[in-house]
Amino acid sequence: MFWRFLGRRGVMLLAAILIASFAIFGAMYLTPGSPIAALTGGKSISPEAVAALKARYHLDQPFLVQYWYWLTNALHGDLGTSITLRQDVSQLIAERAWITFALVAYAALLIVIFGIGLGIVAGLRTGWVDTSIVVISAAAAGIPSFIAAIVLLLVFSVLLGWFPAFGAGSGFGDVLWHLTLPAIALAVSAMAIVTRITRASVRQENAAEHVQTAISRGIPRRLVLTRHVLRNAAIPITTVTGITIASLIAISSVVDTAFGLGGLGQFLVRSAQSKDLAVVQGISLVLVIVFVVMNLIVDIIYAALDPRVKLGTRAS
Amino acid sequence: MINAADTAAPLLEVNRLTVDIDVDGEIRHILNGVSFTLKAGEALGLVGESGSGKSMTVKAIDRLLPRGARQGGSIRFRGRDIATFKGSEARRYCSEVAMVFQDPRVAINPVRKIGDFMTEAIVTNGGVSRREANRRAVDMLARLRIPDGARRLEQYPHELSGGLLQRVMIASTLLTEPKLLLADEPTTALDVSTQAEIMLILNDLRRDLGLAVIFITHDLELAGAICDGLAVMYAGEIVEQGPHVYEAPRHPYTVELMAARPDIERRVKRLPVLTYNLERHRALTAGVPAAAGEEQRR
Amino acid sequence: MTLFVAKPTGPRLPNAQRGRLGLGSAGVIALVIVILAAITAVVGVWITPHDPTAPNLSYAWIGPDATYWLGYDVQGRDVLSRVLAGARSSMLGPLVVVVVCMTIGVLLALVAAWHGGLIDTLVSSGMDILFAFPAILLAALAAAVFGAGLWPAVVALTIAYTPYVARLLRGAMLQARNQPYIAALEVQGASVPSIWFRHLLPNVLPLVVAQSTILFGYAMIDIAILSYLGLGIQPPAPDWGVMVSENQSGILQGYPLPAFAASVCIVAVVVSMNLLGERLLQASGGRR
Repeated sequence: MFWRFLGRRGVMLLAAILIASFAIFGAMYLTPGSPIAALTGGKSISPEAVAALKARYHLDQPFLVQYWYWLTNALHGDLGTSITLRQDVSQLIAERAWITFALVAYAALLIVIFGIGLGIVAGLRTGWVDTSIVVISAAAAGIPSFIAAIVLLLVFSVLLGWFPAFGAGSGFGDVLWHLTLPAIALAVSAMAIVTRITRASVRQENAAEHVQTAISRGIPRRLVLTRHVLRNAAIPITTVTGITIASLIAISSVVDTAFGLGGLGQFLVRSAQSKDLAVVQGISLVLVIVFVVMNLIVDIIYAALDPRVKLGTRAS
Repeated sequence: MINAADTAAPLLEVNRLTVDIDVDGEIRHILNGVSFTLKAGEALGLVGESGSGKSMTVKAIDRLLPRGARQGGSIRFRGRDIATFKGSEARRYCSEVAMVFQDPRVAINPVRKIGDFMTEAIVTNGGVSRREANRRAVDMLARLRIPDGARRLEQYPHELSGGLLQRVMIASTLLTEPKLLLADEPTTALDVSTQAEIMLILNDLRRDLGLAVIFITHDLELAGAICDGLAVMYAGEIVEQGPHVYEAPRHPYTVELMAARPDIERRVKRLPVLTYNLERHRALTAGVPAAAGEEQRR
Repeated sequence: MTLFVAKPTGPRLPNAQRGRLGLGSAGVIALVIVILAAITAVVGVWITPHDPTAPNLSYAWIGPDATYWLGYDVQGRDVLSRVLAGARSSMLGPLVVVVVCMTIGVLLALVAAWHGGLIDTLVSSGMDILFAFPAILLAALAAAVFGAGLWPAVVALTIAYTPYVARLLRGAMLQARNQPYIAALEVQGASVPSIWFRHLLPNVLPLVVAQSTILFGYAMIDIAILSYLGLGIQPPAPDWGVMVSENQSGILQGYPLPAFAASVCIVAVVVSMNLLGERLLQASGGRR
């Protein structure tokens, strides 16, 4: 049952990635302007050289054939060459990917610890603790990551000088130090969303009748909390947290740029501005795959946590 | 611990029980002095309209009052005030007084297995090993005419029908060997044929195990048929109680309630509408001890 | 043991505390902020005290004075004028995204919920595949293909948000469609458009309105992000996202006011929209 579910989701995942890759390639194909001009940097060259370039990059072939070449090359790890940097795109992505993933992982950790933690506290308490968490999270949910980034920059880098304002650093401790402000900036609004969902879920489960049943049977409060309230609230919490963390992959380009970290996000933005299409295609493909895989993982965790789920759909 | 004095006392004495709840700053009187006693093995039917305080009464007995509710009066179990129970005594009380909830679909945690649900109390509080608890659970299911108990324990609530689930609920309450069963409309959420089956099971168990039972129900026929006595509630009070109520009601409200039952023998164009209302109730009870003998709270 | 007897007070409706609109004091403040922002978006460009695009580098980073209430920005332009003029593009982009998204979303949801079967499956799986594209990524693609600007960003966000809207509305529409009176109308021979637009649509309208305000907030953040990244509205056009981007260097140099003025505008509108959306959602939920 579970393996069949996994198999079906795997096929859906591949279909989604295939269609996404088609869309990514198709979008680039539609780009106004001759790819030859992009390749030569606008310099005029002989017709023979143009023909040679066309043959080399399969530009004389129909669209679907070009897509096929691109896709099979991508599967072999060849994403083409950056026209601005004159380097292998796969290589360029590999050099920068760790920064993005470290940043997202750091932010994810903050979201799980503080977002869920504060949500549970607010869900179980009433009075000022709950009220202040609710008010702060409502405000924080409206703070865009780039504004969080500049506020953190101003306060903790410029005024207090506790954290660096630029770059990703090198070596574990140094990277951690460099990535702290970016990770907080990236996590702030997501944390607020997770806190609110967690609070609502804990409240809802706490009021559920099956919790009353457990209390009426004299199950100690602590066990009622872990076995029933938190166990059941974990279902919506993990789903929302997982999807939220997956969405950070794309949003990381903002803090990446604000703090000049040099990760995939900043590279994507720069390449989009300079119309370095091979790079935009490559990064888009990588990010879409990671995003889709993370969503699949969320679905699998969801199915594992909730026995009621008909293995195959996510009840939203 | 059980001495002669304990067994001589009634199993349950509810004495002038009041419950007030604060709803957005407004105090609502949910129960206004409810009194009754229940001997071991006795069955009491608690009847009345929705909102008359039936559920709140059993919730108070089960110590499940909502947060912010204020309780007055006393509830004594074997002669001792249940409000004084702490720690192990409280846990023992929980195992001796069990509640069968109205809708098993929501009263059983949907994401845990039937086995976990059934054995949770005896494993956690009774110190029974999981293996032994499972064996007992299977036995108890068999007693409730559920043959393949071992398989059921591995299933999840959504895989069982409502009637089956309610039998699981009843079986699970019996595992702690209770002396008093509180059944809050145990069949309302089920279809009609299953309702009868569940009531039959509960009635048999009551006889076999010598359980005292408080039934909350809207079904007067059913309550009259299986209970030793009825208590009729209105506006947070018991207006009339005793073994006579079903056959020979005296209080005007009970008389009307009995007359309003549909009868298959007798065809009527339209069921009678109750004329008894709060004003009549207030006028009737002002200064006068109610038929059941409670003192009015003033 | 008898507890005190309290005098019964009159019934206090939850709405009594929230005023006639059911918004509460925070909701009223939010509504005022949104209305002010909307008015500024319309008339802002005409009421600027100074030219919002005329640079004067010798005044760069100078603080507020009597005629320049919010001081000068990185290029010596009047910050207040740029804030006022920037309201238009900052509000217009999200508005277009929301209107187009909701229109497409409602139509897709109607078609999917009405026909069910294969059409529903096609629409739903199409939406599922679009989910694979995060909004920012789609916008980066659009900027790479069509060049950076407000409209590629708006198109990208519309494509990215539509699946969410369609999925949400499809559920609500399905619920409305399965109500017995819709079947009764069908049997009576009511025309399909009349059932759609006179019965199904009004049913989900409160949800559409509530979701629109929430979506507006998201769109505003995302468009500001894109302008900040240089993939949206291009400087020197006055726009709140652009202002944050241009004046970010001022923060590191100790002149945070220009960037913060724009940030405050964005956050105020977004938080207000979210609050209004939540209140509307509660109100529409309470009515069902």
